[in-house]
Amino acid sequence: MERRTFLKFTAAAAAVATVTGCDSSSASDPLPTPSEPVLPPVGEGVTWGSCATNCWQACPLKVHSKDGVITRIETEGKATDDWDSFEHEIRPCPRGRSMRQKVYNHDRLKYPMKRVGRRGSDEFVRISWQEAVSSVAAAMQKTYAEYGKNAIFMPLGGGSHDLNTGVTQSSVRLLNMAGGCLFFHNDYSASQYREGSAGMYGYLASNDGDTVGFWNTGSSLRSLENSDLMVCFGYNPMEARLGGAGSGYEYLNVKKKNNFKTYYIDPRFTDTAVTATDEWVPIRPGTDAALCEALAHVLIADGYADIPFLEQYTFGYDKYQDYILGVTDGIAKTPERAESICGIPAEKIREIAQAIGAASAPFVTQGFGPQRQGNGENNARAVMMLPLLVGKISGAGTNHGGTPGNDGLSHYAMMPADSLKDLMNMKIMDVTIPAASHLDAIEFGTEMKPSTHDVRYSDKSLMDADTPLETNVRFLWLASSNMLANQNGDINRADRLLNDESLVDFVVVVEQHMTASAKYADIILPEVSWLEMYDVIQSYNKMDCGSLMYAYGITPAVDPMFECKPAYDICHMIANELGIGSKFTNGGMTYLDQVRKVFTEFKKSNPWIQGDTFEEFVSFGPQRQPAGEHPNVGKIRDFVANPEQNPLGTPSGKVEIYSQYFESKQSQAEGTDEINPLPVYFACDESYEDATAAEYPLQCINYHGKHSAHSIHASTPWLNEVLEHHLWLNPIDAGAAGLINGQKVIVESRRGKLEITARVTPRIVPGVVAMPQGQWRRMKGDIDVGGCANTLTDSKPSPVAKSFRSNTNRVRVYSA
Amino acid sequence: MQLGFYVDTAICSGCKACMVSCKDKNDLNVGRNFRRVYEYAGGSCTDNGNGVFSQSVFAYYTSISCNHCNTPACTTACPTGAMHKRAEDGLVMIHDDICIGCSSCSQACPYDAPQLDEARGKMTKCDGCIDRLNAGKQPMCVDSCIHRALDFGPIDELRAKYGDTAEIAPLPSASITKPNLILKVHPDGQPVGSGAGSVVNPNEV
Repeated sequence: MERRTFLKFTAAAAAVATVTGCDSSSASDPLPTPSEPVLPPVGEGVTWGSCATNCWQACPLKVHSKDGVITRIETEGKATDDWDSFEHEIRPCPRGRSMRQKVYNHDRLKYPMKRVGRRGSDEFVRISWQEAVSSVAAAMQKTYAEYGKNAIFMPLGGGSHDLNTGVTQSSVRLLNMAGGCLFFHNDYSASQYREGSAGMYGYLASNDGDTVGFWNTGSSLRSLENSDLMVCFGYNPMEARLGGAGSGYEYLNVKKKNNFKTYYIDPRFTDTAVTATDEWVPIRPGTDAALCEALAHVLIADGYADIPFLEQYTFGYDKYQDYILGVTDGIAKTPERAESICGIPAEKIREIAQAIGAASAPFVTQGFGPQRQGNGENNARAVMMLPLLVGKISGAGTNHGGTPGNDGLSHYAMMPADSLKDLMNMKIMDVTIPAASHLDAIEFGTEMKPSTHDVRYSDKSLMDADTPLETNVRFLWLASSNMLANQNGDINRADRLLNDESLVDFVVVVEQHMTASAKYADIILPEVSWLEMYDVIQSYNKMDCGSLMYAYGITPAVDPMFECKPAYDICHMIANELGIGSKFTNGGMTYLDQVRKVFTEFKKSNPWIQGDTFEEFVSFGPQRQPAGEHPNVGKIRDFVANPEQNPLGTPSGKVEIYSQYFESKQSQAEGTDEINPLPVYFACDESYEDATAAEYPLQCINYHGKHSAHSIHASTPWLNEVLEHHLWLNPIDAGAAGLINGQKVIVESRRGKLEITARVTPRIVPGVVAMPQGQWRRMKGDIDVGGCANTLTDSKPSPVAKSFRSNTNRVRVYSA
Repeated sequence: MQLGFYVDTAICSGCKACMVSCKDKNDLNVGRNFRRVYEYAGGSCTDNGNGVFSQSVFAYYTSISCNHCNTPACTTACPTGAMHKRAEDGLVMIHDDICIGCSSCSQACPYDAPQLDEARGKMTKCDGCIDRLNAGKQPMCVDSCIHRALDFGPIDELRAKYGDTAEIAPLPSASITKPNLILKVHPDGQPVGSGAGSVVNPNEV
């Protein structure tokens, strides 16, 4: 109790001191001091924390601490643990279990810092908070005055993902109130799936014009209980979504209940296939559409295609059938034609097609690997053709071919706006660029237009006039975002552009750790960790995160480390400098006030939640409900029941096999790219059929491994030990290159070289190598010894979504 | 009474939550792992020369800690008697005060259970989370397993529930130390001594 009293006293004293020291204008607030703080425990205690890793699982952590130091992480400790009744524990994966190390890691940012060396040189000096926030505010004002709001860009950040009052929300709120900025649409993960599925189905159950938040997800994994066949394309929940209540655990349980046959199509024999004992069908990366064409050929030729259904519900089936049967180009897309492209024997293709045709409820699904390709939009659409061809896109046990989903809670009911629609109407949303395009916007933003680079204006007249961006990007705001120089395509290009200080004037980074991108900061603002903050946390079932919906409140396990501050307080300080402090805080709300407000709003829309106050909510721990069916599924069902009354959001109102959206984009195809209104296979740059194969004989893909959903655990020692960063290499390719398991190798593409440990394993197809993405770039001479996959990738965008083609790379591998 | 572990290799996905939660609970530095997850893989995926693949690949994970064996090799090898087996629950434990850190036990154990704390020069290993057992809880690894592939308890009760299989490649023959370990064998599980596959993750265990 002594410490608690002391803290209360110092908080009050600080508030007084700040008021007297502060500008007396009504535009500024005193610095935040919680009136009744929910303080970290004194002595020995337990608090709820969250793993806000952007795997989207939001696992609860029971954080034990003693004398202000975190001692260990535990699971919920529920009395019941029953999956069938939704009463199972939400058990965190190794990332959540290692959270103590992430808090106390050697690379935690401790103080505000400013750059003193060349940008990117990692040379910084400690400065005061006042100097830091003053220089950020001054740089913002200078940028607004000289170039206008669209010279400021806030890249997508996933470093603190499942929060409602965290760094992303605070930053968006500040930038919107300060005058706006250039923003992004789509994302790095699945833009090609999003655009491909939207080309076929429209934006399904999303808000009008909501291109930021929409996901054309499909049926729940639990609906597999009613299925008699599963066909998976690059769908790997036991590595990508392995934690807690997530889809990996859900898939395992549903498979135990109903042992349906699964064809597991992937270049890797993944842990999902190992654990669920699915039949592995090895495929070459980027050739999914070629396989689907052959499957379609069998379905059509053998009479499985539901022609009346296709004629009633789809647009352009006739053109598709002509293409598949070879009427259009004289080439029938038979299994025999596809087998040497995708690597799957013709008889196996025939077997899979006949299984789809014979199934009463086929569940076809895809992860995001097949669409992170130079031809990814077409792979995504081609997979979605399969259930469509047999007329089984709605009904028990089926899926529309997309990634699974549920209804559930949303991240967007939060503090910058009360709904996603409000968020869309904010100043920062009036012009957006594709999420992966900021390097282009730095280099030649004023040449980027709607017709060529998918620039999007909310003002229709600007769209109609094909207006280019008014300025290049000159100022970057990174909110727990490692996209700038690690998670974007071709980070060597990012390094070159950022080193040219005539291009970018200012980079501000709000972060917990010295990430690879933080090294390019001009000013670093250190943020508290997830175990030092308050928030309302909710599951995100809309995006393949299982059928258990849950929410809980978190409070700090320990006081903020060193001089770290909550992002809300950081942004408030900058708002004060800009003269909009009071506006930012809604007239003086503290961080904790804001969290309480978010809880009140959250409770209104979720009356099943117990607890009338945030404090009570926290005391209940994780609360749960079964998640419902995703509204997309209902929308498709309504469409099938009455297509005239319930048209889809496509130009024809039907499922567009021949996509008029893609047709409108055809002039944007560059080089060997192809934009075809039909979901057809084409060989893109650096694909299996690329002519440069002799010089770079292997295809290199990267995947979301168990170590790090994205890149935020790259420096956690326990994870680096038990989940080694390695390159999967087939014994045939290893033998040809004279390499053995466990040795250090160099992987080289046209863009760069990295060093990594070889994992010689039969679990990958010959001619292909694979590494987990998410390690941090660390240069030693011209070699990235950190092993970041984006040392190898290209920043050339995909044809339609203008997105990241991270799995399309040709490389050579040799001994380090 | 004799305590022991159960491991379902059919549903272990190799996530390593057991390894990390054990490290967290026991404050283990990098290099010391009381629990280890072996990835055993074999078969082949080949291009038949015409660009078409055939495959016979299998893989599975085996999460192994100390098996608190009936005839532990470690206690026999220990020159000081520090490594000992408790009569009351059959747990194999270390008297920290008389351990000289000679590593004889770790060389003898076919499961690699004893792990040297180099900073202190003392041997360390899984104690079944004795503090948690005393508090009526399961060991940390069991409670952290995402797929519920682990169990722990009186070995007679576990055998009544899960059977008495204790062997799978790449583990040694159960006849050597008579481990208090029960395994559910993965559908692709290979017999002890099989040359069909190999441990492909030697740096992680």
